[in-house]
Amino acid sequence: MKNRWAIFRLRDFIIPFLLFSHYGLAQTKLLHHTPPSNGIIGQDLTLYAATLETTNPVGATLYYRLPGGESYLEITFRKSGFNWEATIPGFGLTEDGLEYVVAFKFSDGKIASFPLEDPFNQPHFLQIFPPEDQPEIGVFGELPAADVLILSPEPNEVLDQNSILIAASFFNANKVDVSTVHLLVDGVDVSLSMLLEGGILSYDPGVMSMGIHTAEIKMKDIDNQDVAPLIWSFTIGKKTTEITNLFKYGGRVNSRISVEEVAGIPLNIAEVIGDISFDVQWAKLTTDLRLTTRESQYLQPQNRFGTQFTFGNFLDLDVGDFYPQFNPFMIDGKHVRGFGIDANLKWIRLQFIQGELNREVHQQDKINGGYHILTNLTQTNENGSQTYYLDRTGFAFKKKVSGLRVSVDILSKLKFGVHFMKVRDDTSSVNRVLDKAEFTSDSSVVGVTEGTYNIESFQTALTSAGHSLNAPTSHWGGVKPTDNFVFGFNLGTTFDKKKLTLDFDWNMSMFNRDIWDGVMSKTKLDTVLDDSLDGYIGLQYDKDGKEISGTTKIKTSDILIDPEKLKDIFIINTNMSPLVPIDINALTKHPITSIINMPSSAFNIRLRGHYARNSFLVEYRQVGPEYVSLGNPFLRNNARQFTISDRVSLMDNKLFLNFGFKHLDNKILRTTINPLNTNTVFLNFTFLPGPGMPTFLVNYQSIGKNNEKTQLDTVGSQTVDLREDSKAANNMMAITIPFTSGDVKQNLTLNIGNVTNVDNIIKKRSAGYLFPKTDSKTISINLSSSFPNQFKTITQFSQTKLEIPSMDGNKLVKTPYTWTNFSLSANYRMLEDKMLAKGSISLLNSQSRIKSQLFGVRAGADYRIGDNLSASIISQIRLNYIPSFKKDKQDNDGDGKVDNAGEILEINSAGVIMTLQYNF
Amino acid sequence: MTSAKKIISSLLFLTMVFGGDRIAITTKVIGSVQYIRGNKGSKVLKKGHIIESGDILKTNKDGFAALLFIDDKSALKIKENSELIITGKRGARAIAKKINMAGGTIRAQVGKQKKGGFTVQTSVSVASVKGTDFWLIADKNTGDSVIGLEGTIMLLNQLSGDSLDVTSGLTGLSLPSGSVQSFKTDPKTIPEDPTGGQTGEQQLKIEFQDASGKKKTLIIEYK
Repeated sequence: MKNRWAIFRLRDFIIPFLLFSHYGLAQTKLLHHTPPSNGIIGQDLTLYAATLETTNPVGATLYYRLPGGESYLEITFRKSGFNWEATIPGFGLTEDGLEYVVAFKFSDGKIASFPLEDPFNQPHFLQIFPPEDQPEIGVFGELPAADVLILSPEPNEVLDQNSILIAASFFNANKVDVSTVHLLVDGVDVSLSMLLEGGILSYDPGVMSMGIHTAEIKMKDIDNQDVAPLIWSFTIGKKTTEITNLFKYGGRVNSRISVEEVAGIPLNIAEVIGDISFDVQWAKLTTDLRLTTRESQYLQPQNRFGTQFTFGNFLDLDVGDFYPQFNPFMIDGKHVRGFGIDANLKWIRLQFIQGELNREVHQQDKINGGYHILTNLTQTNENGSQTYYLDRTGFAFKKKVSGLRVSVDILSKLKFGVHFMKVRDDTSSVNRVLDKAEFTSDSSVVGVTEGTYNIESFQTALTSAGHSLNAPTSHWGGVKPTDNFVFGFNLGTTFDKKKLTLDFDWNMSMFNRDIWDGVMSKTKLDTVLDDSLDGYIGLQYDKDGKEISGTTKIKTSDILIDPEKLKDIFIINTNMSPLVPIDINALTKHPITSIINMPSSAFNIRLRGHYARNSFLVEYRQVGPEYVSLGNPFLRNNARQFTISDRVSLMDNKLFLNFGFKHLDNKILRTTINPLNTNTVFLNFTFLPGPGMPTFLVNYQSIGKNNEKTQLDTVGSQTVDLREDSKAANNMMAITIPFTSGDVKQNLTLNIGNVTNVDNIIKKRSAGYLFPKTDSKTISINLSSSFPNQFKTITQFSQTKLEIPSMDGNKLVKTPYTWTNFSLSANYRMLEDKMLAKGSISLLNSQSRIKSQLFGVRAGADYRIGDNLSASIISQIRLNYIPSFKKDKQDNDGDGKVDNAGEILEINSAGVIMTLQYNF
Repeated sequence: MTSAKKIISSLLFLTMVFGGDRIAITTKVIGSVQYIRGNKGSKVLKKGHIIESGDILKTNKDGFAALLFIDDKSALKIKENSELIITGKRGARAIAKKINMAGGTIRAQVGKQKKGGFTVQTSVSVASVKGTDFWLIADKNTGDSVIGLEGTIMLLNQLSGDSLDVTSGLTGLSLPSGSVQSFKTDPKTIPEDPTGGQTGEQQLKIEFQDASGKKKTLIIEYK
């Protein structure tokens, strides 16, 4: 599966989200998501989530990363009838496990998440298991391949009549049931004559006729599931040489149309997704594209078109949309539209990117989406008239990016690299004046009729009323153009026959929050930190004009760099951060500490070892409070973290233990006002006895938080309790039991989890204190059944209980929320496997302040039209039943009627999704 | 204890330790080739025979055998007048292979993707390989010579502990005196491989026929 991702925008998403975590559940938005008990290494994992809110989310996103990773990768959820679905590509599922966050954003700006508390710092951990041969219920995927090795003859080999021996090895195909193996030569079953012992299949056909012959091995796995047959050809005769194809091509095109209505809002999307590759042996061209009707000039690009030229195995050229990775602190998979080079000669590697991170957006497609009146900036002129301020809004600058990384690898023992990246907003990219953008004027504009205007009509109206307009063409409020320059290096080495690896990565950022005014001259720099034009930066004087000792004192003439000469690299002015990269006063006393703790630096040092079935990690990483990389805006700054963990595999990789400790705090600067320490202890136990046997999984995580406050704070005249000393215990247990009843193969999974929060200083709190943490309990039971007649079912039951605290006066109230979900899905193959009929029903019962039931039905089919062409259609409807609206004497659906039938039972969502896929 | 006795003792020990695992299959036999399994006498080796760890193979004057290991398809080709014991320890994903040669000429083709180790040991030398193709000619009196065709072979002289890397185009000598040395391979010294895969000059003939039936042949010579 081709998957594309990007790291989401800091201002659009993270900040509201962090605010959400601070506010806790004061603005409760809830989503229903039952995490799977585990994933499978290398297999796509689809996660499902649903929201119980009556408003439809404007976006739902899945963020995932390797445990402890620096940044999240992002996948957009797709509405699929009952639920929202997002699929993590198989290559993202490794034995290290996975951490993920589900986030729904609503039109009112509120966000619901899973996990509920502090999701990005405490994402949900998912254990990933090694694969077992359990074919999924799915569409027409290829049969799983067994790792059978052809020994003789070689595919396409030419051999003489007396040299024929057909042989294959099942050494690595331990999931194959050898009793099911059949050998066909030229379509004739010769299984009775073959030998199969010790994992070696051999067959001596004797003298064969001249010409091309075919051997085919058919087999099933130990679960009696079909396995892809192994077919190859060979030629009996004189030696000829096959001319290989000089040119190969392949690809797929997938078109998808969805016609849906969700919460009364039509949602029609058409998409074409495809990829095509051309291979001329020495070079390869691969193109990915996505064309969607969601593409809009008012949004960042939704379409994707990227082409990669690969020359041999040493040079990749990317044109269009691509996702470069330098390092986690700089750019790590963020979408770039432009041009990239990756020349890798093994011992030296050069990576270069140039393009844009964001394109320009001039306005939003709504009233007040391009202009809005800032009444608080209205000025009263001497003649009594008003000058109204019309500010631009809804725009985004084109964000240009360029970067270079050069790294060397000396005999795989020593690695060294340097890298830099420049990101700058193009202030000329956005239209300074919007002639057609409409905005509203209300009663606060004196003498102008309330209504909708454009800039020209508003100007006219103001003039008529004797007022004037100030509509600046730059220096707008809201989003400011920024500039970012990041540079750094990395070192790595290995010890003890590569069992031990040590890596160090250091980076520093320069960030300018506002470049409207451009670069600052050296003379202007003089007065950056002080008001005196004295040839010194930062030098301050007392009232008698004497120099105050201890203040920063930098002679402007000593500054080697001329800001104006560097403006093409970075714009230096007073809005830059840091103004001075290092604390010069502290440098003389604590040089090492000063360098390490530079607020604009980010680094990590990591030691990894693999000894005696142990994989351990010791890591320290720190991201300074002023470190900014627009190539990875998700990076949490002002954080330092120490991690020690170990993963032990025992009993021939059947038993895994994963345990460790993490400490996280924000005390990089000595002047930290609001310290917060987070200590996490985690333990994971996984037992996988083998195919056909039950599996066991136990997770425990203890998260302690302490902000070192011992006294109450005062805000205005009020005393507030901002002390935090809490512990959250997160437990999860999962058991999967495969069993057979009659001819039906079944898989039963039981998953139980709970989160319990404890306030360690509850006895010291006042009676009216609200401890805003939510306890939760989850149980889910999943039964998948495979019937011998191509009929498969999945039955699911899950229940989640939350207790959300709030205050009723001085009384703590815990409001219970209980979601109970039942669903039954069934698939049936028919028409000689050409058609896969699918259907499911689900019932989601919500019990909280408002009781409701969501009942859904989904039905559809996949049909294989030809070898390369398949079609799929799925339709769904979900009904929302809210009995409490029956007698609440309110117009809940806004149709002007009170307590009518439409309020009690409404169509929550309905739609049809059609897909056509062609492989070539 | 003489070197020969040491080898035989080692062979017997290895036979006891590793004996029994099925590790390879014979894909080609030319002339007279025998195998010995356990305490049983020698038997004629035939195409399709499954080699067990500890099997001893002997080729006579006109004999030749080709084997393929079942885990990774590593090939072992045994030329005339050779005697060796093939041992292998089956792991979960690979077989650790060890060839103990009393004498003779072999060609080992070990692919790059191979997971298990591949070691050839004589009374004088040990050759450890991975991702290589080479000939090894063992003679307890004159020493061993390793002809590198592809990849790198680490050739260790057991008597002195000296070692060197033999790469493509080089021949390494490991002598009973304990010395090891290498020099550029004389193509004439490369043994002939009855199954092909020769490194000498070969021809590719492509026949073209035009509309009038005239034929022309394009001959490409390659190594």
